[in-house]
Amino acid sequence: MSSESLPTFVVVGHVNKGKSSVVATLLEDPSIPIDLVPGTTTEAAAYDFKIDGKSIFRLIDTPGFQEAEATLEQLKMRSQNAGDHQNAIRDFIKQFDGSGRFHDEVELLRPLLQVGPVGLLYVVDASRPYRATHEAEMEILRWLGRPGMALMNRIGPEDHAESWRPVLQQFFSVVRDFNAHEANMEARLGLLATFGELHVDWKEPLKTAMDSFAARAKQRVSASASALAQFLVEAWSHVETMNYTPGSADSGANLEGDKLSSRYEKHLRKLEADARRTVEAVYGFAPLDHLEQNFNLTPEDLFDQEGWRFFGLTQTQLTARAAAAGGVVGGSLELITGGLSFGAGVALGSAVGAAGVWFGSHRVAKHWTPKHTRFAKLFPGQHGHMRAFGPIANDAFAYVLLDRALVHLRVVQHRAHARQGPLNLDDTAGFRVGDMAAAQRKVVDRTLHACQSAGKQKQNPGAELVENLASCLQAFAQGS
Amino acid sequence: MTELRDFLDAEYALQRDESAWEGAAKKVAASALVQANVSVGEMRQRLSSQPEARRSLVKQWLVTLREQGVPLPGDSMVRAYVGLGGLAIALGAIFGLVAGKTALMTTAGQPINLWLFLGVLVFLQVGLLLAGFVFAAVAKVRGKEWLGLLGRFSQTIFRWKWVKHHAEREMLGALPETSRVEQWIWLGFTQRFAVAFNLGAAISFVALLLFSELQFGWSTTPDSFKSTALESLVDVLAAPWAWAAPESWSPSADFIAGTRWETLEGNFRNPSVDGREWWPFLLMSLLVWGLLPRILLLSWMESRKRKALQSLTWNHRGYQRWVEIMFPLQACSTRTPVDAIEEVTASSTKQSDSRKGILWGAWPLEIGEENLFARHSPLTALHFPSSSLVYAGGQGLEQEADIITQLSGSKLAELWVFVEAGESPDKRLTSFLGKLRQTVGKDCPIHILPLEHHAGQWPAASDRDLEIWTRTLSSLRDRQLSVRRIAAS
Repeated sequence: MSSESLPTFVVVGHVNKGKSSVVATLLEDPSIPIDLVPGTTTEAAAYDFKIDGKSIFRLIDTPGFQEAEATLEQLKMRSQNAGDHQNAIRDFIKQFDGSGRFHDEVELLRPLLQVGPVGLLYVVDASRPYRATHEAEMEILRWLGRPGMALMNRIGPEDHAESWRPVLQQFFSVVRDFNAHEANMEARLGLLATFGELHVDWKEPLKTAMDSFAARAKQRVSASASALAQFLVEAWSHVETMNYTPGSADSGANLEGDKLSSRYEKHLRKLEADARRTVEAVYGFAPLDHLEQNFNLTPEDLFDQEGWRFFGLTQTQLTARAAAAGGVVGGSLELITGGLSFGAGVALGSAVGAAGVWFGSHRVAKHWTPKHTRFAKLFPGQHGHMRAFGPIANDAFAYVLLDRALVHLRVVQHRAHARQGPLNLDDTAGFRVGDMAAAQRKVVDRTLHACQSAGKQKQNPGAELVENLASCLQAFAQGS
Repeated sequence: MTELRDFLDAEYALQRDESAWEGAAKKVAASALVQANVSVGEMRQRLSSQPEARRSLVKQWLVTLREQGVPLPGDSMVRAYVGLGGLAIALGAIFGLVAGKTALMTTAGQPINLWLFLGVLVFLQVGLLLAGFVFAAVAKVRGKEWLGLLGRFSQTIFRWKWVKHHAEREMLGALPETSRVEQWIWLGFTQRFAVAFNLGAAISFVALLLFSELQFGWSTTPDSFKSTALESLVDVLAAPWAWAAPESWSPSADFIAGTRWETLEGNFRNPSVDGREWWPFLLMSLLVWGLLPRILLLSWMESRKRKALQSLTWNHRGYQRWVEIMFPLQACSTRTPVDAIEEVTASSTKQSDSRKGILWGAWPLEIGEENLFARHSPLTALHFPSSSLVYAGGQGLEQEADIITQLSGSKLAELWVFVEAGESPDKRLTSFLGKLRQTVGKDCPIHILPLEHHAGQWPAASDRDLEIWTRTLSSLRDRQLSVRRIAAS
């Protein structure tokens, strides 16, 4: 589609009424500059919505009217009748372009005179009452004769839409409510559908854009579900361990418990923060601040294990493996000798292996201290006396983490890209584990228990567990 | 293997401190933005929705890192994998050749024992395959990794052994995305071994067939063992090819019964049968039950490995940091302390005739004079009589010009401009303020008082609105111009 035939919508309105916010929200692009102070947008800027590099429609953000009364006065001086309105605007632009005077109006009007299908979106702040001073702006826009619609944005908490509507309806064929800071996907798609109705040639490209937005929404849910599943599986199975020297001063059970519990909590917070950052990035946001209460983790919420390990194995596990290895060696010897000992080789090998490791490891355990760093460097793994906190033993606490993740996902999903400030995660209703269907709940339960069991055995819960949970969360997030 | 090398290098680099790769990332980001001709926001969207775009950008970044000489372990690890894959094939082939030769060993005057051949090269292979499936099923039910302890141990040793001179092995132990691919590589090694083993055995068999005479027979000690049992077994084994292959490839009942070896008599039960005719069936058994499943399994594992490489999302935490550094979003967080705005009360204003007030905008007329000068209005509180107030900023520009004319030459103690707090200042106002300043002189204080009016009440202007007014008007750099606020009553 050439740039001349590209559906183009010029977003206009009084200064600081949320034009850039409308563009940012519609295109889901938080990088569009938005500020409290009026006049942030000083030049008209075109933003193309592209699919596979091909532009589908274009939004042009403009600086906004600053001196509409004076502009209208200038235009009236150049026009005798309705037939030469557009020429008057051209003359106006020609005279003031580059002069510094009426800079914003020139920037705003120029794209509306371009050749090809151009629509205008007049943005007003319906949280402020209608004032007669806005009439000059609408009169200028009427002079352009472009298909257009009025959008009633809401910057503040009040609602004065009723004072605006009758006036806007006199100037625009379509008037829509659109809160750029609250608009969810449904509202955005609804608005794009209305854009398509402004011109007969725009329906198809806008339909394509809507389909693409819907597909992207699905992709985002899928990517977020994967990130959350990864976080939950990691959090639910996490084990924090600490080496200690038996009999030394710092081996007091309470000291280790406090240290471990605090380390565990810190790790969970980091995992949660990382997962949130991922979800926010998936939805195209820079990392956001969060308003919420933090979770409280107590040592009672965690499994508490104490013991001695070599290569990450307990003495019993080591002995069992040594018995198996001894059996294999004995069996091989027996095979070589043609089965002369009738199985005694296997039995003997097992017995020697098991006994050797059982007593040998006892001796090593007795003398092992965390100072044996050379051995630890040579053979990576867990060696020595250690106390371990985790995985999460209290199912209720595990579900608190899931609830928090789901609430965060819900809030991010529904956040408009023009919105600034922190995410409020405390006042959000719904979208919690309790809302899940029985089958989904079952998957979550199964995953949690598999994580607990893997964590207790110091094993990686496995990628499939993450994938299953991700599918479940994705189905839940899309269905809710 | 190039993809694996890139993937491993990328994950490894992202786990490291960003100072090692920040420069390369920024360089690549700048050129990517220019090439694609898109905004930062568009690029971020593209990265989050198009895996191909992510992969391509990561590749460019890795090329830059390698050019800059940043040590990355991908090369050495991929070389090691290729070496291990080759070793698995070589060992499998040697074992297969030896096993084939052993299973086809003949004792003078006796045929090759069919049981031994089938046992080693068919039943044992099928058994091992089934054991593999059972192991995988148990691991899946228990939610554990396929590789288990041995796999993890060998991974650790492998990394330590091969990359100790190139990278920190502790870090390599924590590459979760790479581990997902590695499990298929390691499993692929086992299947490479198995394929090579069966191929070796087949080659051994074919070679012996070509260069020696092989007679096959079967026998059992209890004579009660009927040949029908072996017949059923042969039918099952030959089922996959019996429908399409020549009859001789699926031994008949008479042939099976006839090739039973009578050790005491030193010949087959039916001396007229030819024991050599077993070979097509045995070769097909080896190929179909030993080799084919392993080839299929190897292909499946290779495809899973490729899929794992292709489906990599790069959504781990290092990746997000990478995106933030390459394509940072700009956020504005400048705040003017609203508490610093001076409050105004009736006593703090100069009550003199040389005070002038301007009601700016269309709102004063729209809310009506009765509200403007009602008992509790700020104007009443500030003792502004209606006679000292003028209107400007509404429809038409004449009032502004009139005010400038009126005020020219007058000596004012102060000038108040009452504005609607919720309407942001525009250039019409700032330009009017500029003209006012020229008219009243540089020393006359001009106070801007943002006001709110709602349903007959005069609530205080919000902090947000005050901040907008303060920040906008501060850009005029007029020392005698100040934004004021009504003291809370």
